[in-house]
Amino acid sequence: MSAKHLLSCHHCMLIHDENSLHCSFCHATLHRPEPLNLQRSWVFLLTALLLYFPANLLPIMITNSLGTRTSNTIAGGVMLLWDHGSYFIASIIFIASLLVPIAKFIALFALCLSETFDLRLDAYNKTTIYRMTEYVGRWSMIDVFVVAFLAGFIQMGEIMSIYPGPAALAFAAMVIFTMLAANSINPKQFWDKHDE
Amino acid sequence: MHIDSLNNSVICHQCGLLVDVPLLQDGSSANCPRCAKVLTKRHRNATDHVLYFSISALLCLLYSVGFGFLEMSVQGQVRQITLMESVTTLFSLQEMALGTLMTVIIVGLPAIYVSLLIYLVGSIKLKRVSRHSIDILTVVGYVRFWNMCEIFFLGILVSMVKIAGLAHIEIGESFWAYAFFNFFLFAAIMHFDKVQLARAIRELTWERERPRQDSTNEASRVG
Repeated sequence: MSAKHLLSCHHCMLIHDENSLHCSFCHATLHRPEPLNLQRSWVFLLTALLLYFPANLLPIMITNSLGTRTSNTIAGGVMLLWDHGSYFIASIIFIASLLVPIAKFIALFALCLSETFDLRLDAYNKTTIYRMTEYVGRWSMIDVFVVAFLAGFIQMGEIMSIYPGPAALAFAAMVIFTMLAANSINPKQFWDKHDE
Repeated sequence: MHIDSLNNSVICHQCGLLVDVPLLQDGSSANCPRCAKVLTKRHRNATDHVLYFSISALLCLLYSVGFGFLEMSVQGQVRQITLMESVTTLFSLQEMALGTLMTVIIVGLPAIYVSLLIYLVGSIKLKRVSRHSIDILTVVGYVRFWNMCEIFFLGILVSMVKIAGLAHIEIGESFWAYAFFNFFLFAAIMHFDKVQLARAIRELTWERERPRQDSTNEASRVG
């Protein structure tokens, strides 16, 4: 069966013929796939890429312990944890904060480029990549949450205090923008060419 | 106009294939034959499960904001915080943006999400749905996309391991409540299925409107 000439309401999923403008059940406007979505993912993706640099180069956490002030970037924090012997935590932060964002950028660039330049990649593979990007991307937020929670918790004056660095916000914004970019990609477009 | 013969069909959200999905048996699911995405899954007593798990989650969330969350002691000094104090401290450090983000993530979105779930599933159970219930279903989908309280909870566990060597940590009642909240919310989400709920809302609404349409037709004929 072909769904080419059918429209599914985004809200109640009732199926309409292609000439319908509004859903006959919930009265929502029926959306047709629009090429604008791709432009939107590019905008979000490039914004996220710009934020990637401050997020990784500036300190994410500033520790004040007995008068000594140390600031750590994300990579520095991972190395510090590794040196202290917390291999498990170091691995979690390494995967969530360094590996996943890079993998996500590569995946999103691959998807956007293949759509923009009409490269003939397998629709099934593209959908799998898309699904993984969408699922895994949000877990990068864990490092931001760790820093924000530690800063809220550990405030003991001169003995030990932790403050969030400027990278925390940049990193959070980066993750949010990659989520928006992934959300703007419409995987149905991968399959349009598959049908032809 | 919608196509009546396709009322039991679904257009795959991922690849756009039109799939005929019959009424499923409890515990079975329908997958897209082309891209393998799970289209819909029917759980046993899904409405009841979502309702009870969401109510439990909401109670746990309310409990978790009221009591001590974590306590740390280092060199004779003690600091105890509640869940909300971990956020208000950020505001007092002039970290407005981060504080706002954390408020939204820790309690804002979870509270909205759970309340909407209770309202939506409760109204289906009481058969008091209307076309507007679909709007709530849509909002639930949006909130679910941005809800990250389980990641935040994992973040707390990571933080605790991080400082375990530097200070002594005591776990408060709120902490357990927040842990249970996450568990119940996860259980509610596992029983939630958009396609099944949308279908239930449509059928209940049509069922309720049908006798009224018949009686208005009769009234006009008599008149």
